[in-house]
Order: sequence, then structure tokens, then C-alpha cells
Amino acid sequence: MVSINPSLILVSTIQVIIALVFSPLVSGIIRKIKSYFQSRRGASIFQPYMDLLKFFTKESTISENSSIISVFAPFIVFASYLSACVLFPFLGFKNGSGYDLITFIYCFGVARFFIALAGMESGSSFGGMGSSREMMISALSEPVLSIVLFALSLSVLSYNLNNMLSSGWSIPGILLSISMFIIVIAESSRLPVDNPDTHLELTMVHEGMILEYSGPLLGIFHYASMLKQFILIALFVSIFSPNIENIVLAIFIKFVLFLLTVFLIAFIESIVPKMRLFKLPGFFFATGILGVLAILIYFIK
Amino acid sequence: MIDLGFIFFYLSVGFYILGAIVPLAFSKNKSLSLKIGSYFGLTASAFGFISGIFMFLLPNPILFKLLVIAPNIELQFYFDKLCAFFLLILSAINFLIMIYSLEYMKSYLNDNIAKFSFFYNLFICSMSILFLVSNSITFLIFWELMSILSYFLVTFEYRHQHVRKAGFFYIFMTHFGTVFIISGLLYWGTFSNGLNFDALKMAAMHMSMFSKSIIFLCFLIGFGTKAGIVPLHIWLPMAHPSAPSNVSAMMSSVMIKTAIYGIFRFVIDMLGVGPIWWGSIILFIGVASSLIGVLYALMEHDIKKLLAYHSVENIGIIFMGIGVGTIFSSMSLYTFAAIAYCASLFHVLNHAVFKSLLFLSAGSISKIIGTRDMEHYGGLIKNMPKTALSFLIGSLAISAIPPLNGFASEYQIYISMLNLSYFSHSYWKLFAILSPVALILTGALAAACFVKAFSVSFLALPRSSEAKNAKEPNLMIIAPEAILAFSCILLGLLASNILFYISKILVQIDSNFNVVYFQTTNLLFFIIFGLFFCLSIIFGKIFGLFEIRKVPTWGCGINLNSKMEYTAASFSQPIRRTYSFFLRPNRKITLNPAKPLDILFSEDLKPPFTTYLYSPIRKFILNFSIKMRFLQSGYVHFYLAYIFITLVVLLLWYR
Repeated sequence: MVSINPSLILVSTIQVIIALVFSPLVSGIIRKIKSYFQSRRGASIFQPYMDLLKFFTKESTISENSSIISVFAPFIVFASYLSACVLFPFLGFKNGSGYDLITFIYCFGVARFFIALAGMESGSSFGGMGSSREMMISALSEPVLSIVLFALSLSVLSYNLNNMLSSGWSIPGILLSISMFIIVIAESSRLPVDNPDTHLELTMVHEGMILEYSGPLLGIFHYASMLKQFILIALFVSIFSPNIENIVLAIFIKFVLFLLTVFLIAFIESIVPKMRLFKLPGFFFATGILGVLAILIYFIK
Repeated sequence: MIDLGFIFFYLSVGFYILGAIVPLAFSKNKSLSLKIGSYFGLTASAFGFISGIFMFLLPNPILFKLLVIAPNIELQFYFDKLCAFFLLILSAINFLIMIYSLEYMKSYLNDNIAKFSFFYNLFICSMSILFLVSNSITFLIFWELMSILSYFLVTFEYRHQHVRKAGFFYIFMTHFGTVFIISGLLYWGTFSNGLNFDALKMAAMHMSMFSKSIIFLCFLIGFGTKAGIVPLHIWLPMAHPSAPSNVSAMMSSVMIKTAIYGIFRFVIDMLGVGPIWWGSIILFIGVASSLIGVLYALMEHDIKKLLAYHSVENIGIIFMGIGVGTIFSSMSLYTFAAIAYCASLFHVLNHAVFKSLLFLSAGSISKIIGTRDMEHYGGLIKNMPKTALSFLIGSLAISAIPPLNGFASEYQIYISMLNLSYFSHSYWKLFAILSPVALILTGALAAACFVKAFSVSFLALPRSSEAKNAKEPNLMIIAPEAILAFSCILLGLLASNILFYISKILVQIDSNFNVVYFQTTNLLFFIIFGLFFCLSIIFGKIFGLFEIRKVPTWGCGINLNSKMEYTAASFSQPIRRTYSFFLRPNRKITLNPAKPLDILFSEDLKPPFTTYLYSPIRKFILNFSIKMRFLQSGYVHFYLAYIFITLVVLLLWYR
């Protein structure tokens, strides 16, 4: 049932605005930290905003082989990530009933389906390669993500994301946080799973699918992937942060944890190389085993 | 009201029989006999649909005795909501398929169309009676009729050798299943007085759990063969592609569901609650079927075989729901059991809708291009936008993308499985929590499969001249597909209402199965997603994002052609390699040093079930029959002697 609750709409709007405003900043911070590790000065942390602005002033071109799906795919991808934003209470206002775990996971499925179709549209092998690898990686990372989230839902006996906030603050939660962190890295197309900075055909996955786009449509895709990264980090932080009554303190701690996670992502990206594509199944399998171990620990308790 | 439902049902049966017989009289004039057969079939399914609605609205089930064929064998009809549900699905899908057939079967005008109408209408007729009979023997008669009539439809193009082979395999497997159903029913009959369903149901209350379990296993294997669970699934990918597409749509969307009907009728309704391992075994089979089905579907590039493997996957998902429900009812948690059962019945409906949609559009494409191999399609969205759109909606629905109907039913199954993990004890928790993970994996692989199927056939450059010059089929083909596509959306958005009606079926089976409230998120997702999508489109319009210049794709310096595109085989290659421990791909690369450009690549999969299960059994049977050959002398008096000896032994036995 859909119940319209004014305060819920307000919270959702605030969440969407926060995600829209701050997601490029997160990308900028990660780039800045990476450039520090590479002994460069690096661009300003506001550079992603400039990039997006520039994308929107450019002319839009797509492949002549493509159909209407290519035109609508960026909007569908963007809208599904925004829906994921609404379906998950990362600010921690626990007053909704529609925050459903499975629908949240499937929001990413919608986006992935259409971005993979868009990758196949141009007729060049790069797009096909990207789509094919993206679907393979998703078939590995989605089960692991679901193991983590289902294990947490088992610990609170509810599949409502509302009740799952701060549920990872426990001993098996440490194991789960490791696998969840790896999934955050994998799903936001970062090293060692995918490389966001390269356009080399051997390494690219996400970039391969959007290779034939340019201008505003490409800008929307970039914005969407920043949004996805923001949501995933926020999900990670709000699940594994401690449960604190004082709202101001809780938000402060979450903010600190958020920055810590961002730092960690940039740090790991600076020290690990890209993993070979067919090493990934083993990598994800190990990650999944961590999740299963955590479930066993719950079961022993 | 009762009389009306009956009258419409008789009318529908009558029209099916007319539709079978009248075309035979006009078999010389092929297009006329096609028209007559289809129009009679159309009318019959319309009547069937109306009678189904009347039956569904009946407050209480009604038993109607028609005639006594022999002692204990009565033709009697039992009208309840479960029958009505399946009858409604059958009639609605058949109505649309009949419209489609009117145009589609024109390509078969060189064959014997009257024969087709005869077998097809009788096949549908036997199925619709099958849902209503309430006597074991008449059930078996119509079950057998359904199997044999569909055999003639599978072998409609009997001139091809592979079709005859597929037909033989199909008839063999379906009889293998029937043996188990017969034994289950007869064994059950020994406990009761009479073979009517109500007598059997009465008997089930006093039976020991051991004999109940034997009957359960018989039904599981028997109906499982018809449904196509792993490892009994291998007839599906052979039989479905061989039949004409309207028949394969019918077989995949309704015929294999008769097995689900059988399980609901015999196991859940009549046999009652069993020990916990019944449900666990069904759940396990469901998980295995869905994963193995989708993996093999991904490896396929014959579009109809791909869809046939997806039937295995979806039957697996339906079995997951049934399994979870059975476990819950063993634990006496009837409300949760009802949610799981409703979910699987809802998935039966949804699968019928999207699978017939996919089969119909695949059929029209493969007729236009002239092959079922996806590697010869490509770029069809430009010439066939309507077919492409309906196939896209079907693909989204089968990949469980919200807010379409596939997601609505799978969502209920997810919830049931999560609830199972919350309420089950000790180590069952781990298995219970891993089953939704398996469903997530199935969903991800199904999405991969349909990204492949849709993009290889409809997007990018045409891969053959036929694909380049393809034309949109006419309205008679498009309209049923469009209606089915629209129902995919509608069933998704109205999920909570439909689940409410489905829950009434279960209340009628057992008043404990009472669900007050279904949590659905389809409508919520639709509103949120739709809002953001519209906002972003408006934003795009204002800022002129739709002023797009089309430029050629950069082909690394040479002109791009369709040979450079990613093919279906290359798309699935990473997944094939990831699961190579199971799929056992056999790669062969032949290099010719004299001609460095002549590189031959071939890859095939080692089918594990045929290699390790069916071949040894086949070898054993063949060897055994060679050894027993000496019994077959060919003289009549020897056979008479065998009969005499058997008679004497039996007389002594039952002295």
C-alpha cells in the first residue's frame, strides 16, 4: 500500500537533494586523495562540478546505429538511482515503512539492465565488451551484497531497511563490513574490479559501456555513477555505524565515518592494481564466504 | 449463477470439439480450414474465460456428477477457485494465441492445416477438462490425452529428423512421468473406497506418514517431469523449439503449469500437511532448477531454446514458492504458508503472460528472418519497433525488473524465504537464508541473459540481409503481443489486488490459509521512479538535451561492420568461463600456419545430465533388452503361454 505521509516526502526530498548536491564532491575528494598519494597537487575537489557543467554545454552525439533506447537509457539510469536514494533512509529518520530491502537492491538492477543495453547499441566491440563484463560482475557482486544484507536482516528479523540501520555494529558485523566494503568498491566501478580512469580496452568495464556517448548524455551517466557511489557509501556507513540516540551526535559520527570510508576507498585504489577479470570470481567467492561465516556466527549465538 | 458457469463451460468444450472436427471437412481449402479452426477456438476460449469468471465468483465449491463410465470411474466435475484460476489462464492465453495463429499459421499452408486445428483444439479442450475432473481415472485419461495430443503438435513438422527425435524424447519423458502419477494415484486408491478425489482426500486423513511420503515422492517425480524440473528438464529445450511458435507458447505458458495444478490439487489440497522434508526437497529442487535453467539459457543462442531453458528457471522459482509454503505449513505457520503459495500461483499467472509474449514475438521474428539463431538477427528495432517494444517489456518482466509483474511475484517469494529464515530453527536458518541469495543470483543471470537476447537481436547493426530487410508483421501478430505486454505492466501495478483474489483460492483449500495483507512495492516503485523519470525528461527538454546529432561509430580506423559486433556467444563468454566448472565448455581453436587469417574457433558445452545420467541409463536399458531378447521368440503360442503362466501365478498369489 502506498501511504502518503508529508514528513516522509520532506525527508525523501532532503535525501535526494543531499545526494544530488554532494555526490560530485565525494568523487572530487577521492580524486584529491589519490593525487596526494601519487605526489601530485591534483585538481580542486570541486572539479567534478566543473566537469558536469562542461558536459552540459557540449553538443550531444550518439552513434548512428543506436535507437531510442540510447537516448532514454541515461534518464532511466539516473531516475533509478534517485529512486534508490528515496527507498533507503540514510539520514536515519526512522519513520517510514516503504524502505524495502529487495526493492532497493532491484533499483540497481533496473539501472544495470538499461546501461548494458545502451552499451550494446553502438555496434562497436568496446560497448559489447563492457556490457558483457558488467553483467558478469553483477552476477558475482549482487549475490554477495545480498548475503551481507540478508545476514543483517536476519540479525534484526526484518527486511525493512529502516530497522537495519546500525545493525552491523556487532561482532559478526565486522566480517560483514569487510565484504560490504568490497562490494561498495566493486559496484562503484573502482579498482581492483574496474578502473574508472582508463579507456584501455583490456581494463574498462563501466567506461566501455558509455564510450560512444558524449556531451550532456555522457554527463548524466557520470552524474548517475557518482550518485550510485554516494548511495553505496551512505548505505555502508549507516548500516555499520553505532546506534546513538542523540541525533546531532549520530549525524556527526556518520559524517566522520563517511569521510573515513571515502579516504579508505581512495587509499585502496592507490595501492592495489587492477585485478585480472577472471580472478574476480574467486575474489567475490571469498567475499561471499565471509558473509556466510558471519551468518554462522549469528547462528551459534 | 452456477447454471450459467456450467453452460458456458459446456459451450466452450463443444466449440473446441467443433473447431477440431469441422476443419477436417474443409481440409482441401487450407486457409478456410485454418480460419474455421481458429474462429471456433477463439469462441471456445471466450466461453471458457466467462465460465472461469463465473466459477471463480462461486462462494463454495460445487461437485457435478455427469455420468458413470464404469464402477469407480465417474466423469464428474468439481468447480472451485483453483480450477477456475487455471481455466482462466488457459482461456485468456489461448484466446490471444488463436488471434496470433490466424496470421502465423499462414506460413504453414503447405502442411496439413486441418490436422493442426484438430490436434490443437482437442489439446486445449483436454487441458480445460483436466482442470475440472475430480476422479483419478478420468484425470489420468485427460492427462494422457493432453500429452499425446501435444506430441502430435510437437511433431507437426515431422519431415525434419530433429523434430521426430524431439517428439520421441518428449513422449518418452512424459510417459515416464505418467507412470509415477499412475502409481501414486493407484497406491493412494488402495487406502480409500473409490477413486474420486473426495474419497481420496478422506483417506489421506487416516494414512500413515510413510505411505503419504511415498505418494508425495511419486507425485513430485511425475508432475516434476511435466513441469521440467532439473534433472528431468531435458525434454523442454528439445520439444519447445521443434513445435510451431504458437504451440510452444501454449506448452510453455500453460501446459507445464498443469503439473503445478497437479501439485496444488493432490499434494497441498488433498494429501495435506507433511513432514518438513517435503517442503525442503521442493525448495531445493526449485533452487537447483532455477540456477541450472538460467545458466543453460545464457549459453544458448537459439532464441526458442533460450526461452525453453527459461521455463525451467521459472518453474524452479514457482517450486521455490511451493517449497517454502510447504515448509511453513509443516511448521503450522499457515499465514506465511499462504503468502508463499499465493506467490507461486501469482508467478504461474505472470510466467504464462510474459512467456507467451516472448514466445510469440520470437516466433514472428524467426519466421521473418528464417532462422532461430540469434547470431543472424540484429538491428531489428529500426524496422520492427512494435515487436521490439513488446519483446523488451517481456524481457524486463522475466528478468524481474520492477515495476513489472515478474518482480511482483518474485518479491513475494523473497519475502517468504526471508520470513522462513527468521522463523526456522538451528541449521535450517543457513539454508533458508541462502535460498533468496540463489534467487538474487538467478535474477542477475536472467537479466544478463535477456540483455543478451534483446541487444543481440534488436540493437546495433543487422547481422544478415534478412535482418536488414525485415518488416513489421501485421496487426494480427502485433495485437496479441501488445495486449500481453500491457498485461505485464498492469499485473505488476495491480499486484496487491490480484494477490488478494489469489489468496481466496487458498482460503477455499484450507481455511487456515488466511492472509489479511500483502506487502507490495510495485506501485510505490512505479510512482517514485516515474516521478524522477518524468522530472529528468522535463529537465532534459528544457535544457535541450534531446538535440542529438547522430554520427558513425568509431571502428578503430576501419569501417564498422556487423562482423565486428559483439555476438551472443561472445557476450556470454565471461559467464561461461566463470561457471566453467559446471558448464564444461570445450574450446577448440584450429590454426593454419599456411594461412594465418584462417582461424577456426568452435566451442560446445558438455551436457552433464545427458552424459552422466541419461546415457548410462539408456545404455543399461539397451543392454538389458538385448539380454532379454531370448524371450521374444516371435511365435504366437509362446506369448499365449506367457499369458497363461502370468494368469496362473496371479491366481495363486491372490488365492
